[in-house]
Amino acid sequence: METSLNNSTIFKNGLWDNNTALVQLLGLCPLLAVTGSMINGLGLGIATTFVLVGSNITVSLIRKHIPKEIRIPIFVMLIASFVTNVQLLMNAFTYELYLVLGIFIPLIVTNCAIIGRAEAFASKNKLLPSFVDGLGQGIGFTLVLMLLGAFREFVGQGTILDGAHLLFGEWAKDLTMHFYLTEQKFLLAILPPGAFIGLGLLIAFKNKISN
Amino acid sequence: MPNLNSNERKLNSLSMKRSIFRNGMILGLFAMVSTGLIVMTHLLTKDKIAKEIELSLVRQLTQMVPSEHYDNEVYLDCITVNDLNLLGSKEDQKVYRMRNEGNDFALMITTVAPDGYSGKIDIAVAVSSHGKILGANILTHQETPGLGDKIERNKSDWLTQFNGLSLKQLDKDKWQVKKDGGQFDGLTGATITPRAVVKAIYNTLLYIESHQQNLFNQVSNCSLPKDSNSGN
Repeated sequence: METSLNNSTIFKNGLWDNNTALVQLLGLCPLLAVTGSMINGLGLGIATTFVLVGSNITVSLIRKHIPKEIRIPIFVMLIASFVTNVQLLMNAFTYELYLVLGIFIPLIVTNCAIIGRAEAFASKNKLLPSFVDGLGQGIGFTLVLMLLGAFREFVGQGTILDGAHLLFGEWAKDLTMHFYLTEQKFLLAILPPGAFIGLGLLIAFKNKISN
Repeated sequence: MPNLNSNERKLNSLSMKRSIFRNGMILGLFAMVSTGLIVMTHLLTKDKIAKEIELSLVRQLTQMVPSEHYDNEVYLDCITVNDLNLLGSKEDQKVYRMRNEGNDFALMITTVAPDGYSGKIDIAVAVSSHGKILGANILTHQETPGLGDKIERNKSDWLTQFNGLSLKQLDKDKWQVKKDGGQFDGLTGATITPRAVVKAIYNTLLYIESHQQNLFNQVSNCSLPKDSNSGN
């Protein structure tokens, strides 16, 4: 069964109508764990998008050679090997970036959104739509991560874009915005409960707009 | 149960067997290909990764000790040591030796504070040959974001208060946070983390004091640094 959707609809699905985090509620484990700040969210988002696009392309390319009964173990194997390879390559060739994103990469393996897209989309569709789907879902996921990160960071410690220099280099130190200074941080927002509450608010907000 | 005659039954189990066999082979093939790819990438990137780790070690070192103070290749000049009581871990710790024109200049030793608020804290301390702390760095930790994580160099300058101190300079009972009667600042909202780090650094100095000459003279036996991320 191939979808007859055009590419822009597929992309929009990923961003909004069928957003990974807000609608499908997939990939929550890494999402809740790392969104303590906006930059962390962006970091995980970039890494996830990269893996999602790669795994969608691979699955789509070989979809006709995979027997239906054993597709899931094959997807798992493909994704695990893809993630490991990405980790090794980043470690070797972009070491600085690896130090920042490295901690997120093992988290991607636990992200069921990746296998979800392989199963629900890439295994049934041609190369280009699968690529667009991976990109759209990835960017949609990234945006939610950043929003949630920004929210928790703002409520928890009164800044936005704290630690931007870790991702973009020294010049980005000036990007950090301080809204209020506090010695005693609002821990509820920074620790995991803040992630649940923030995500709940985001989902409610999205549903409100959609309806 | 549908009523199958024996022929049909035989045929069914035969085709079942065949499909299991076929799928097993395909799965095995995929496993081999994906493992093979990882092996290839690993072989291709192994040396490059080892080199990057060395470089980052040197960078970390230069954060604590300016590189003009020593002239040897530090990451090739190192030994492993082990002391559960003073270095806080059953695992081997590393000692990198910095020398200048053959004279002992300083050591960088990795150590562990086993009693952090959320598990162990890996620390590197650079100590001069006279027992003075040149600098300290937190390698890995899981302390509470926003509170205990201020021990990190890039989050606050809490760690810099150790610079320049030595055992001679400060009595035993001053090696504590102010709350406990010592001379070190604590961190607001985090009592346990600073306590653990101060104790670990003090113990490290004790260790170095009692092994000083050995640490500098022992023949280097760990030419390549272990992947600092693997222990995590």
